[in-house]
Amino acid sequence: MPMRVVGCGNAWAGDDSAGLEIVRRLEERGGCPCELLERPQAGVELMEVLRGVETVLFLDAVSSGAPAGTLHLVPLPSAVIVPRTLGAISSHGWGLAETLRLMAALRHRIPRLGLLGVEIEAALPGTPRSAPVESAIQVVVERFAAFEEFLAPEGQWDWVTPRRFAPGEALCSLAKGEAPTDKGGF
Amino acid sequence: MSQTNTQPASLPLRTVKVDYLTRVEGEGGLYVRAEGGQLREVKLNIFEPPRFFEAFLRGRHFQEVPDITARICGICPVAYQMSSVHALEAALGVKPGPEIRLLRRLLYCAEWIESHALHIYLLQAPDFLGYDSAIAMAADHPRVVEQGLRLKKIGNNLLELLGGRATHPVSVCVGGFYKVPRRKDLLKLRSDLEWGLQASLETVRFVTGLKFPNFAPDYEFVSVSHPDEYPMNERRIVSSGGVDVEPAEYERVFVEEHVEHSTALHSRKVETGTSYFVGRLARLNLNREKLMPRAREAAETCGIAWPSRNPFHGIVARAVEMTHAYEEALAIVEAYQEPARSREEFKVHAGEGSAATEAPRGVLYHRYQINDRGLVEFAKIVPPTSQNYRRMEDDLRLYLPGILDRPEPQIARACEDLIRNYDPCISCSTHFLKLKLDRE
Repeated sequence: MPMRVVGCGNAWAGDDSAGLEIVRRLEERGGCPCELLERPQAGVELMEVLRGVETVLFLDAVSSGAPAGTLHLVPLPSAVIVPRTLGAISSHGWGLAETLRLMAALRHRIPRLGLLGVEIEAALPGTPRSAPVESAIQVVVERFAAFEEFLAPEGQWDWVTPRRFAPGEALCSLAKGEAPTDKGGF
Repeated sequence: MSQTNTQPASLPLRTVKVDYLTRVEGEGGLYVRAEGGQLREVKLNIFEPPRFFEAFLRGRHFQEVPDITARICGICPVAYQMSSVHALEAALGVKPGPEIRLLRRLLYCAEWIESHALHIYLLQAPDFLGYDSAIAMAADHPRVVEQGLRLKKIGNNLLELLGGRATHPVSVCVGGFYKVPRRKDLLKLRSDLEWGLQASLETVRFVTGLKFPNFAPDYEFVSVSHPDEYPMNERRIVSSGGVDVEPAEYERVFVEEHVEHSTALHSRKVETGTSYFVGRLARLNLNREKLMPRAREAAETCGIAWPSRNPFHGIVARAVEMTHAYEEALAIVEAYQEPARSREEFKVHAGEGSAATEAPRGVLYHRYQINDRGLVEFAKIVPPTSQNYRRMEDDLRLYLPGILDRPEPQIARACEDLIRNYDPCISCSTHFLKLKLDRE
């Protein structure tokens, strides 16, 4: 299995559902060679999400101050974007960082980890997703094959450098086989 | 037997403040004040905001209650489902058949397995082995941690099969289950359960080899009790002090009350005003003759004289109960026949019902009143944690004077260790005290 794609977020909290919605639409469309998972288990069970694959890509909402709909591609763990949702998935504060430390202590192989974050406008309970986030979701789903190619071991992303893609344009350039423009600069 | 707590008179006034009990289910702290070596004040300060479950259950249809109450806890959702369905079935006069009853015990076994494995291996073992966390322990004891993770995972798998998902299961309803498992699917878990039983017996041997502090207060142990079974779902509530009542009489014997320093209610006995102790040590002390055969043998030969009043023996009780849960789960799976129907049909009418079941961390009491449309008019939920708070403070009063001359980190560590004996929902994480010490 080349890559496991894990959607995170709250389905009932507006833009926070972006990661879950991308996975749901990819599943609905079918034909994706990745393993799709709609949300990780909490606590130590997160280890199961990280086992048996080369690459795990988390899809989640991001709030960094960038324009809504901006896509963030970030290697994990990262000091650039703190993955708040991932860090809080356990009611006991056991998150991705703790899981990685435990896996390292147990000498388990850790896959390449990345976050594709969708910059959100608001994450309010019971609200619909904002238009910029809807557009970003649509772009990711439509261009996902090119995106996978970009993330593949022989692809163009070095899995070290965080990238930020302005709304609507970044994955278009991926589809043409070009390296995306890093406009964020992090 | 209480500890003797004589301190040198030269010791100054000391105030120990633990601002946050971190890595716990909920938010709380600890405040301790001592003067001249004498302990003056102990407060387990629970400041987590109220969650209002009892209030927002009102007006809900009774069939929504098991799914809503399951959301109270991520570790013991089954307990909340079981206490609610039993109480509502009592209100409605519903009596599910023996197959459903066994499946509910199997569901409870799954929860006990995952909860007990988590707390033995990942949360409490580091206390005894001298590590700050399971992560630190894993580097030196990878096999121990791997075993704990596998034991827990099997419980998760069983819970997912029966409940539809491993956390906050959704299959339970008043009258039975929305859907029951296929026999062939349950049998797929048999080899894992057999491994788990052996690993649990190994766990008993592992934990009995740990070094336990010498501390044995004069507790009143309280648990559910059934004439023929180790207590999970039913029936009466008993204590080492002579209590023996139906769940409907619970509030005549035990009462919750507000205390100034805690947003969580504290429980006490109505008659005496004293604290009491619920949880695996209480269950084992009061019901050990009803353990499954191999679990009972493990308890009898482990070297601890039961009943034990040492709260640090709770880790052994947990290992014995995990053995019981694996053993009973295996027996239920092997004998399982798919029931003709997954739930009983019944007519809705107004009524009131109570139930007490055994969450991994102790007695969980529910009472509901519903109207003739099946809507909840009143709900009362008494979790085991709130029943133990007063007892935890009593323990700290007995335990702390003997260690107040130690450095602050050691005091904090000892308090954490003691609290973790009690309740995974408070002490579920390891080494959680952020200690602040004021000297005056």
